[in-house]
Amino acid sequence: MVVKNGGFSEDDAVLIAKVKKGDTQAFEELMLKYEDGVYNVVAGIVGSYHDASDVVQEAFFKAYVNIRKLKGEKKFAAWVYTIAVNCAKNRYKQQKREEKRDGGSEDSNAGSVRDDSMQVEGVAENNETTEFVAQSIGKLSPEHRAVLILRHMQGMGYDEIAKVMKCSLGTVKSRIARARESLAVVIRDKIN
Amino acid sequence: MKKQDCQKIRSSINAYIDGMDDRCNREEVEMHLRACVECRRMVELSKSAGEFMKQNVRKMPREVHDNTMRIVRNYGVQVQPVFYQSWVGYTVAGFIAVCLIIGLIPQVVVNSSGKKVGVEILTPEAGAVVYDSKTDVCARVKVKVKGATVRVYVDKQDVTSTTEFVDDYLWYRPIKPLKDGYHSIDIQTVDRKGEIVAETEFSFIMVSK
Repeated sequence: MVVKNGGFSEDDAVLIAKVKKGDTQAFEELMLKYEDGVYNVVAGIVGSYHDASDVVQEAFFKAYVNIRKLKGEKKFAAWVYTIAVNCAKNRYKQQKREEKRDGGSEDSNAGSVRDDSMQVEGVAENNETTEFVAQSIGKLSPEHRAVLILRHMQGMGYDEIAKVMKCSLGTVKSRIARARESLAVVIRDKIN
Repeated sequence: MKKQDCQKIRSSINAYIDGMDDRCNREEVEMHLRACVECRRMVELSKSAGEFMKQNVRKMPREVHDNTMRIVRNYGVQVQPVFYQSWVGYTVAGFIAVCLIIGLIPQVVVNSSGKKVGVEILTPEAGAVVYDSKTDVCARVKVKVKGATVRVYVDKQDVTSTTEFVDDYLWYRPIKPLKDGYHSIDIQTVDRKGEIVAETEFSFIMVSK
């Protein structure tokens, strides 16, 4: 299910109230509602659907543990995305540290994704154009991928993305602009 | 078309792609796009990338959902007892807090053996006052060493066999209710040679209702 916005949902408020009273079933309902969206955003940041599974698990567990701290029930979607984005960023940093420590892959392209990357796994069968676009998206930096995924996959507005990514509206606008330019450059280079 | 013109209009182009522009802006962008091949190309590419993303939203695997819910259910319900809200509860909690602050009770013991802290404690918090005598100990193993195993000790007793491990997380629920007072938890990561490579120690205070 694609979450169309990170904002208000009447159902969420009821479900959160139940979760706060200890209803794990209600938490499962909330999770079902947002898990696909969160999964795709996280995969975009960490660069692999395989790693995204662990991160999503961690993010939802943290959300459950801290749900009492959530004041405005209307903001659950943005809140859970924020937790997931933070977890994903931490995982990405950890991966980079490990790569550096192991001295292995000398990654000249800092933002590029690894071999088991989402672009390879996520490609639709036998569709060259799709594969081409997917691989190009995979070459963007995690921040750039994240804003594009939140915008296009989740249909979030700039202000909602700013809340989730914990940055200013201006930063979101410039990241989206840069992400699109980078994408255009990657695709143009491939064509040439 | 001058490059400066393109740069000037790029932010408007993004609003145009996202359908967040006004009519006046739209006319200006469309006029620019008619004249500039490069920007027109960028718009086309951005739109196709956006479409691709929309069409390729992947469903989260069922096992990830099930694992997460298993972790959540194991963690269980953490409802604060009414006791905590009574004046007796506040007095006891206050007294223990003062003891912790002035050092009468060891608050948190981390890296006592100089080893790396390999575990993130999720519950109970180090130095916390716990009211449930069967409280879960829940932690996430952060340091992963190939071939290493994790051992869990409660009050110096090895409880690894009754601890549940799911992915990076571990749970221990006391079989017998814990007695009131100070309890210690020691979680060790032990390598193949039997050497402790990471260790996290902490303590909490049990106060039954």
